[in-house]
Parts: sequence; C-alpha cells; structure tokens
Amino acid sequence: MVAVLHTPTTPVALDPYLEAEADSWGPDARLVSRRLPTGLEETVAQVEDFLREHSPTVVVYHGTSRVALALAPLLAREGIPHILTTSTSTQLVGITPYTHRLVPSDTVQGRVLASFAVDRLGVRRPAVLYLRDDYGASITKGLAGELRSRGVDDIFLLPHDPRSDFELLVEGVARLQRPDGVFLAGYGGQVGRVVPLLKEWLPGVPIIGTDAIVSPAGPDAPEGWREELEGLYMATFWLPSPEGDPREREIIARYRALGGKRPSHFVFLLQDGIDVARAAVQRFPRRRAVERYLEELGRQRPALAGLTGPLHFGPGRTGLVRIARLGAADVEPVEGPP
Amino acid sequence: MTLRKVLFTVLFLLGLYLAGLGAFIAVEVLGPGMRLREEAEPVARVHRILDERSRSLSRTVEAVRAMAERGGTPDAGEVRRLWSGLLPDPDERPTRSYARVPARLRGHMIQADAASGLVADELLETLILLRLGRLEEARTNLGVVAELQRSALDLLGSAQQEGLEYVVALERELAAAASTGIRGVVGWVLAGVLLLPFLVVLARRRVAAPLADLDRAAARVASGDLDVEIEPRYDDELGSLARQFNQMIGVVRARGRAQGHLAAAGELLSGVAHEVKNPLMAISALAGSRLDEPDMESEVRDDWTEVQTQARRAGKIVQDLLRFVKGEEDTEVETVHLQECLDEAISLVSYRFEVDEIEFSFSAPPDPIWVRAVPDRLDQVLVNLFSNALSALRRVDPPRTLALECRLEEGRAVVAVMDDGPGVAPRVEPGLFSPFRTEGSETGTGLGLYISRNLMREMGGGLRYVPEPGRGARFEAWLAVAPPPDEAAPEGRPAEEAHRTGETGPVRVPGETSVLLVEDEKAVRRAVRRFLHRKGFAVVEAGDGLEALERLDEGPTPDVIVSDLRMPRMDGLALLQALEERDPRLADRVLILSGDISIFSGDDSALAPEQVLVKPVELPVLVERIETVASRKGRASG
Repeated sequence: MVAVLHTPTTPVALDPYLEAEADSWGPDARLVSRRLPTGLEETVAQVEDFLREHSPTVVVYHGTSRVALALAPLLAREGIPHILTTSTSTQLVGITPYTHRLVPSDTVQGRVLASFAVDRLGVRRPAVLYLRDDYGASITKGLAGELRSRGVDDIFLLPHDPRSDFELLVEGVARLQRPDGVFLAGYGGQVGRVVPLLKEWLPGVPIIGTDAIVSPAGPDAPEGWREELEGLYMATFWLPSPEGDPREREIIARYRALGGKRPSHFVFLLQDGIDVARAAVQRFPRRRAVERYLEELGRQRPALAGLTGPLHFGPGRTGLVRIARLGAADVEPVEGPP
Repeated sequence: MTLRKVLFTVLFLLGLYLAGLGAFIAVEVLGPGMRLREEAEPVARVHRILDERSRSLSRTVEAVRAMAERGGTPDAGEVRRLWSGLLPDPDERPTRSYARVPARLRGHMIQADAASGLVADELLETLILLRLGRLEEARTNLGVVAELQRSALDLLGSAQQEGLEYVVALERELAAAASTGIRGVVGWVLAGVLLLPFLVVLARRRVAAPLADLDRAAARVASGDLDVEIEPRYDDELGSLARQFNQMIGVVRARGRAQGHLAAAGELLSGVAHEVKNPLMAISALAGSRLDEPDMESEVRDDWTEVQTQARRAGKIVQDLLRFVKGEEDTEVETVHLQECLDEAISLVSYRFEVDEIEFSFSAPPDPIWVRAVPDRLDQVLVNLFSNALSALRRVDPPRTLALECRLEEGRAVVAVMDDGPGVAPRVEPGLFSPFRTEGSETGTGLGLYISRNLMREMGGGLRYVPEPGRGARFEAWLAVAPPPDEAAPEGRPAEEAHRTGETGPVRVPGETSVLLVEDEKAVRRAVRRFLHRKGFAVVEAGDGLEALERLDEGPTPDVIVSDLRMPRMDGLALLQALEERDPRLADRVLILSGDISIFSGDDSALAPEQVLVKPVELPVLVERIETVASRKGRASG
C-alpha cells in the first residue's frame, strides 16, 4: 500500500486529485492519502496513528521540510521507506537510510538562484526576506553561502514570521539596504503580502522567489495573492515540455477540472513520487525489498521516466532546478540559468 | 533415554537457563536503561538549544534596551552584531529532534521555540526602528518584546519542568528495574544452584558410574581375569558399550578356551607321535634287516621294500606333524625351494582328499623356484590356507575341487589356493583378514588368516583374497623370488642313498665292533639288534639305563652305546650323565635315539648334534654313525 501524506500548505484541490488517482489504480496496489494538521505536535501524533492504522509499505510525503524533518525519523523507526517530493532542507540529507528525496537540496537551489541573480540580473546588494522556520533558514543558508562565494557580501538577511510587521520590514529593507535585488524564501501567504510592499518601496527591483512561493497561502493570505506574484522570478522543478507531453496534458486537465486552475510544479513532483512508489509496490510487497528497489533506481536499475525528469534518487537530479518567470496564471521559462 | 538425549536435554536446560537469565536482565534492566538513554537524550538536546537561545535572547534584549535608552543613532557595528545573533541558525533548529521527544513533552517545547522566534523577530523590528531613528516606537516595541520574552520564558520553564519530571520518572523507573533485576538475578542464581545438584547426580549416574564400571572391568581384564562381566545400568550408549564389552570378553574367553584345547591337543598329538615312532622304528628296522638277507625271493623282497617305504612315509608324516604342532621358532629366513615346501604342505593334508572326495590339482613351473622364507612359517601359512579350503569344501556336495597353482609374476612367486566351495560372502570380505573373524566356521579361532597374512608380510611377501564371483574362494600368497643357492656339491647321505639303491655296504668281521643297545621297546630292540648283527656288529642288549650300567659293569666295555631317550627307571639322558660321572670317554661313545627332537634344539643341550638320531632312523644312517663313533674311539685309544 502507498500512503500519501501532505501538509496543509498544499492546495485544496490536491485532495480530490489524490482520490481520483486512488480510484484509477487497479487491484495490484492501493493508495491512501491523508492531509496533515497544522501543528507539528499534532502532525506527529496523527501520523503515528495513521501508521498504526494502515501500516503502509511506502509513504510519499508532500510538504514542508519542517514536517519532513520531524516525520523522517518516525517513519525510519517503523522501517517504512519514504519519498519526499518537495522537501528541500539540507538537514534532510542522509537523515535516515529510508529517506529518498525527489528534489535537490536547498544548497543546489540556492546555487541556481544566486547564479541567476548575480550573473543574469547583476545583483550586488541583495536583501533576503525569509520565513523563520526550517525551510526558510535552510534555503537562506544555501543562498547566502552561494552569494558570498560569488563575492556578494553585503546581504541584508531578514527573517520574519506570519505575525511580523511587513510594512516596517519592507521599509527597513528599502531604507537601510537599498537592495538591487530581493530574494523571497517563504510560502504564498507571506510572499503575497510582502510583494506589493516591495513593488511599492522598491519599484523595478527584481524579486526572486524560492520554489515554495507558489504554495497556497494560509488563512491570512490577502485576496488575489497569486496575481501579485506576476513578474517574479522563481526556482521551479518542472516546466511544461515544449512538445506537449500527453501525460502532462492529462494531469493538467485533471487538476484544472478539480481545482479550477493550472497545477504548480509541486503537483508534477507529487505525481512522480506516487508513480515511483506504485512501481515499487507493484514489484515488491515488502518494505525491505521496496527500500532496496528505491535505492537501486538509477544505479543497478534504470531510472523510471518521470514528468520532472528521470526518476531516481541519485545525484543526477540536481540539474532539475530551473528558473521561471511567473505570469498572471502561468509560468514562463527563463532562458536557462548559466 | 539415550545418553545423547540426556546430554541434549542437559544442554537444552542449561541454554534455557542462560537464555532466560539473559532475557530477564535485558527486559528488566536493559529495557528501561535503553529507554532512558534514547528518550532522555533528545529531550536534553532540545532543552539545550532552547535554553541557549533564551539566554542569547536575554542578552540581546538587554543590549537593545540599553541602545534605546541611550538614544541617538545606534552604532552600526553593534547593530550588525546583535542582528546576526537574532538570525535563525539552520543547524541549531530543534525540529529534527522533536520526533524523538515523547509526544506529551512536545507541546511546550514547540511553543517555547516559536515564542523565542517571535521575540527575535520583534527585536529585529526594534533594531530596524532604532536604525530608522524612530526611538519612541522602538521603546514601545521593547515593551512588546518584554511581554513576548516573559511568555517565552514561561513556556520554556514549563517545558523544562516537564522534561525534568519526565527524566526523573525514567530514572526512577530504571532504579526500580535495577532493584527488581538484582532480586531476579539472585532468584535465577538460586534456581541455578538448585539445578546444579540435579545435573551432578545425572552426570554421575548416567556417565561417571558406567564409565567407572568399564574402567574396573578393563583393569580386571588387563590383569588376566576374563571372567568379568558388566551389568549395563541404562539402555543408552554406555549401556550398549558395556554389552559390547561383555561380548568382546566372551569372544576372548572362548578364544582362550579354544586355544587351550588346541594346546592340549598339540601336547596329546606330540605324545602320540612319539609313541608311534617306536613301532615305526621297529617296522623300519625289521624291514631293513629282512632286506639285508641276500637270498630272498624277488616277490618277498618287493613286499619288504614296500613295508619299509610305507614305514618311512609314516615316519615323515609324524615328523612333520610334530614340527608343525610344536611350532618351532626357527625364524631365520633362508633360500627355500618353493615346490618342495608345497609338497610338504600337501603331504600334511593330502589324506583328506580321498576322504572328502576332493579332486586335487597342482600346477607349477618345471624349474625350481627359490624364495626367501622361513620354511616352517611358510608351511604354517599353506596348511592354514588348505585347512580353510577343506572346511569350505565340506559345506558343498561332491564333486569338490581344490587346486594349487604356483606361478612367477613380476619377480614374485605367487601361490594360489583355489576351491569351488561357497566362496567368501561380499559382506565378510572387508574384515576377512581381521582377527577373530569366524564367519562360515564354527570351529575356527578366527585368527588363521590374520596370522597367515602377518607371517607372509614378515617374510617380505603378502596374502590376499581374490574375489571370483560364482567360483568359490581364491587366496594368493606371494614371496619375492630369490637367486638359487650356490651350486655346491649336494651334501650327500651316502648311507641313505646306498640303502635306497639296495647297496648296504660291506659286512664286517663278526665281533669286530661291539655295540651296547639300550632300548625299552622289545620290538625295536630286536629289529635293530638283528640288523646290526647282520652287519657284523657284536650287540649286547639292555632294557633301560640301569640295565645298561649293569652290562657295563659286567664288561667288556662296548665301542659304541646306542640308547633310546625315553625309558623306564633310567632314561637316556640319566644314563649319559651316569656315564659322564663314571668315565667321560664312555659318554663320548653314546648315540641317543629319540622321537622327541625338541629337547635337543636348545643351545644348553648336553648332547652334540652328531650324537642324536631322530626316530624312526634309517638303519644305514645308524650304521654309519656307529662306525663314526667307533673309529673316533679307535683313534682316541690308539
């Protein structure tokens, strides 16, 4: 059995999407999904209950690094192999032998973002506004490290939380740093509140977001936050294939039918994670064999063909991170990062 | 129950005991100990992170407050230092440890973590306000910071209190477990102490006592007591060993009895042979005497010649039989004429061929084959092989065939003894040459083939069984071929040869040589006297040693004294000793006749070999010896 655990930051449309996915499976495998609660404590307790109840063969986790950091040891303790679709924290590297990550770490993303900002946009005095959590801290560490390695030392690092006074923060950034580029590391809710202020205080200054800025906003997100992001650069793990892949079209159509809008790159990562897990349990019924199968992908076994590239858990997937520019409702590939 | 099962049970009980002890310690003591280690460590780690952050925040709050109270433009370097201290360190995030923290402790920890983040964010905002020169707002913000800090400290305190209580509870649990563990271990040890006597008793009864029985019995056997028997205590491996020991001793006992019977039979046979020799001697002497008569019809001469031939043949058989029974230990290897040895062995058993309706065949190369061997031992081997073959043949109905084949093969002389009896069963073959194997024979000692092969090996040869399915048994003995002995002139026995050709030598002048004939068997004495008389000797007779001494006292002194060995009143050796005492020169004139050759074989014999004649003696040989002694006496006196 494949279990999909996803955090509340995922779009609401994901629930019917996963139900439709489960219904489409044949008798050779079963898919169970669970949207996790908000608090970390409650999340851990609920996952423990879930594992006792379903005893899945493999878990696909789709959510923040913060929760992934808490869940990985718990899943490893039960001997359950798990695939992390979107968790990028460097702290997850080698956290357990059962942990397999589809996305490259924050270090890789930070390198790609810093390279783009410095080499393509000529940023020399950046500001980084990031969420004070594991995701924000981890990706900022990678980003700042890469900027410094490129000779950019004047970096204005400003952590915040959802209750912060964003107006004051943006004023402070604008007046104290006068940045020529602003990085945003956070989720849609906060980013949606910050971006208009940045555009007001720093007109024309490029804003570069991390992969999570398109994550759905929380309850305090302003109306129309997604539209506010238009014109931002962002790191993405998927871009539409120019040839128009039928599988991509099918997923986009299904998601649009359920959520009313185009899916983000996270949906394609999730689908890839589910496809790998399904292939594993179809071949092997036991956790140990599944674990070995995942480990051997791209090594002793050929990688599977995925929506975001060849599916395996080796170093080759670090080239997955690309830069896109957000349109009103879509993403446009930016000519490849150097 | 077999000993193997007993030992397995004992080992199983011991294993169970040790495993139980180990499991008890693991469950009662190690379990809580491991829990304390596994659960207390993440709790302590999270608390250390939160505590360090709380202290750092307190220091930063004080510094920012001082900055705000001072007023004016804050020092950029100090702001930068404080600012960097408020940035989250991704490597010090406690999230990774939360999953290992017990669920009931996580609440206040996470809240304290979040609260400290809020304090830090509020302080960053305060620093921004101070940099922007908005002093009053900054001071107001510090009030919010103070409230958030109190709240964070409260949460941290609660979390620490919960953590402390939890660790203390774990320690208490461990202490209780250790106490229970010690009591339990004591219980286990006591149980082990109780189990030990049971195991000791079991080991003594099942192992030590039966082994002691075997040891005692073996010691008695070693001291020569074969009437020992062990009473098996249990029906197990040692009991089986005891029964096999009893069987083995039974076999040894039976062999001992059989060997005793054989020895007695040998003694009896020896006596009988000795007694038979005298009549044979008489017959031979009488025939010899009659054949010396010149005027005898040809037909009568042929009859007497046949009588003498048969007497000689009987004498040789008795002689060979005696030598075989007594098993004289002549172990010197010499060059032997193999075909002659085979002839001798055949002559010992040939009487059975007719009785048992056995068709015997013998094939050998025409030229003599010489081998290095001890003749008696080779005889013994061959007779044993013949005996086995005859025994086997008696178990089948006639016609029966026995074949002896002698051939040369790769520098060896091979002698094959083949019969068409039932052969050797395949199951018996592997142990055929082992001692005490009596398969197929109810009377054998089971040592024949074993000893025979050893004898052949000692002579540098060998013995083997050659299976020939459906064709009876075939045994092959072999010896290395030796070069023929030197072509020296054959040591002739002129008198014998002459006698065989009818030439009996010249007749002496009557009374020229006097002989005192001492013999208790009248028939022998009469026949020998008549023969010597015919040959011209003056013969005086005596019935035993005492009578001989009387004749000597009466005079005249004879030239030669021919005496039997075994006689009543005074035997030949006593007579010899008496003569030694009376006059040593008389002793030199003595010739002893005896059927018992063994008494002359020792180095300490009082007799010289030339003084001994073995019955039945060929009369011409006797004459020759008498003349030799007489001529010596003549030279001595002349």
